Amino acid sequence: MNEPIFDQPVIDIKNVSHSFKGHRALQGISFQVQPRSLHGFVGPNGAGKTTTLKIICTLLRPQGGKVEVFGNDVQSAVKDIRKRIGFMPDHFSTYRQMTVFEYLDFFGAAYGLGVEQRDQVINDVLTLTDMDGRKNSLISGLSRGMQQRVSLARVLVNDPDLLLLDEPASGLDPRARIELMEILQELKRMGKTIFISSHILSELAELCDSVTIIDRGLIKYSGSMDGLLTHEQEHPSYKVVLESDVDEGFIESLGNEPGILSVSKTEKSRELRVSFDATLTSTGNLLSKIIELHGSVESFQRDKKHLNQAFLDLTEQGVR
Amino acid sequence: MFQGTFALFNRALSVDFRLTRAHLFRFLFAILILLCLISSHMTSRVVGAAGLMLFTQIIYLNFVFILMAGVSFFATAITEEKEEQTIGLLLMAGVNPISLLLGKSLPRLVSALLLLSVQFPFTLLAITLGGVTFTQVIAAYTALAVFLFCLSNLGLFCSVVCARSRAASTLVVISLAAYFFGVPLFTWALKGMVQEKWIAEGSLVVTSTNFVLDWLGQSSVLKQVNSILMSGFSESPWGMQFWSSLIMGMVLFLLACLFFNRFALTEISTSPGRGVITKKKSTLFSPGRAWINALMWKDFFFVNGGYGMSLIKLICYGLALFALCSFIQYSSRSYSYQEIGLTVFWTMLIVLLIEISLISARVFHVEVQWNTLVSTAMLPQSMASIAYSKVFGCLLGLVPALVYLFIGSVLGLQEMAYDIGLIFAEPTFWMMCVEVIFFWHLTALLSTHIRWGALPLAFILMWIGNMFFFFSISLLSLSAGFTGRSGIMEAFSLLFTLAMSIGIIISHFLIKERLIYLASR
Repeated sequence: MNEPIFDQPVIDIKNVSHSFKGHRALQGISFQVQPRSLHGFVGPNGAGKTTTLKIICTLLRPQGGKVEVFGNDVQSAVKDIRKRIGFMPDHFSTYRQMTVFEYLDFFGAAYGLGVEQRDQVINDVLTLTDMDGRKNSLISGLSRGMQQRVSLARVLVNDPDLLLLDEPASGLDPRARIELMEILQELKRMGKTIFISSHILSELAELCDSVTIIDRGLIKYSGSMDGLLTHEQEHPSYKVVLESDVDEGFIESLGNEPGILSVSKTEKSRELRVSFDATLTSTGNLLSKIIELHGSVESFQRDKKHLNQAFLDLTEQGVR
Repeated sequence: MFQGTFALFNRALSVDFRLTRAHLFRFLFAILILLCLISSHMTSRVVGAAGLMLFTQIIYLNFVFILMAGVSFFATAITEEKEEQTIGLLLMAGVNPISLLLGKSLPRLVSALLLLSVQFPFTLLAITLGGVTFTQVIAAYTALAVFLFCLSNLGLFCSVVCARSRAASTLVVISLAAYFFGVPLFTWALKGMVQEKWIAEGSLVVTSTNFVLDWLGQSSVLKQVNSILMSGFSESPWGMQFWSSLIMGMVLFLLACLFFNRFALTEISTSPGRGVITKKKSTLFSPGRAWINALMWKDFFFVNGGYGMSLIKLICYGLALFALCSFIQYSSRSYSYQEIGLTVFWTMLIVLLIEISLISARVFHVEVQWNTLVSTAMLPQSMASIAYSKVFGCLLGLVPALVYLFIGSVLGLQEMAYDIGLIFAEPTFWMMCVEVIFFWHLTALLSTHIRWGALPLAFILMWIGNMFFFFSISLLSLSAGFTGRSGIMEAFSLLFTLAMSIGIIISHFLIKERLIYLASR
């Protein structure tokens, strides 16, 4: 059994750069992935996601910087790292002429598991991925979603602490997508650290604890999902829902208060959006002023940007 | 109607222009012709009719290159579109089947004919060197050009009826073997049957078969080229070979058109098959549970067919050897156990060489082809260990051939022991062994770089390398005089063996690095 890691980051990337034929795929990126977290790695096509993943999983050597997985350098401790990770590439990399059982049995044996241990592990991973009934099916005869599950089952055969999944949901239908996400949540509950790449941020929003956004080989954001939604807002903005309709006089009075930068009504009659200068006033002051001017407040919450907007704000647009 | 043809023609020429390997191939061809020229010039001092020698070398060089093109270049015209699954798209874009066939085969034929015609002025140099007439030059190039036309259409036809490039190339090889060896083999068999009085000599069957065989013999390009290269040739180039090849080429094109809709649009499976491997457990044809060395297990069963295929090979080789030995016994009347042993030994040695060549072309290529190198490379093993495990797994498939080789060597031990000392003392024997091993490594390395055709390409490169080797020896022998020839030969053999041994070691590293690169790509 692998020793548990509690405090040090599972993945620690420091100033990593990599180029292909003159194209700088990664330009000194740095970020960390904490243990037992589900970390999203998002970026547009060609941003450098797969390159980063391949460096983390020891398939590619970084040309600059340092990458540590479980505290081991990816360049010097290749075998140790490979024993503790499972990498699922963005394309089907399965021996399609094998049956599901033969395929998992092959990888179990390749990881040095005995016959009895393999039987146990194969049954476990097939149950987890809901593939019990497909044990003796040929992989080539399975649907795309099922093949993706087989790939995931293969990744789990060696009971890895870290799962690296490169666009696992691409090409799957909505149902298969949802089922895959449920399996990932189950794996997270089991204590696995999951590093998942995607080019669709909203796909990962409900699943991930933390996220790293990459664009053109540069890290644009790395941190919690909540932090992403409030990231780069120059002045705090709050959404206020009052118990009765908002009138113009109230808006004007609130707008004239010191430190208040803008007050605007939304499309709903009882809702308004207020931003203020945090150096001149505080959230508490704002709330007491609203109560003082209007009376009762139904809800008062930090105004978060829409996920897609946050993603667009962070990444440069254009076809690459 | 032919807009599609022109579009495909244009695309093919643009692609050909951008491909570095196409230019390298032409450069290599020019170098070989230059080598032939230098060789003829050097030998002209001691050998008469140097022009004929140069001309013969160039014509046979062309002949070999045409054969190689037939197996590779022409046989993939349609299969490459099938493998890319683009035939449907081309048809939907309004390209009709005939335009498509013309558009895919014409650029290849034109490229090959251009390569043939561009050397024509240089070949005229042979006339100035002496021994060749202008009629011979014209006749030889006409014979080759029309054979090229026939072969391109044979390749096109095979490419239409086969699902994959590999199968199309194999079908072209079988057809060529039937074309070149079929007539002599049939003639010999017929003669034997007449001699044994199984068939009457003047019967209708014999006369009509002889007539057909004679006609087929007359239409053989090899026979035509041989007769052209003889001194005093003055016949017309538009003989039987010209017309039969031309008509055959046209017939093959028509057949390709006829069969296009039947075969070309059939959906091909992109998944590799299981061959004789069954899904049922506990049978001889089942892979059972994975071994401790899982990669060996995988390659033995899923690349080489496992126990089932080994059993089939064991039976087939046994039957073939029994038939061969019975035939020799019947035809020679006296056939000792030792001779049987030698027959079995040499036959199985050839089979082994062929099997290992096929394995070297396939062992790494399948991982690239099946897109599985990434997951295999992620195992906690070095790439070298993964590669060697795969090779050992494939080599297990040689056991049936090795069994017969062993039986053959035991039976012919006494006879072999007599010669073995002499053979081992020959430096050229060791050079040949190292050369064969180098050939397998080269094939394996090339198979990781090109999509298919690693084996024929390695064969061509080895052939060129050998030509270069013998050419160098000839040059040095001429400058040193004939007295020092054997010394030079030995020294060169040693140097060549050493260079190839280093090449073998380097190829291990190159293959490993290439596999790492492919896994990370």
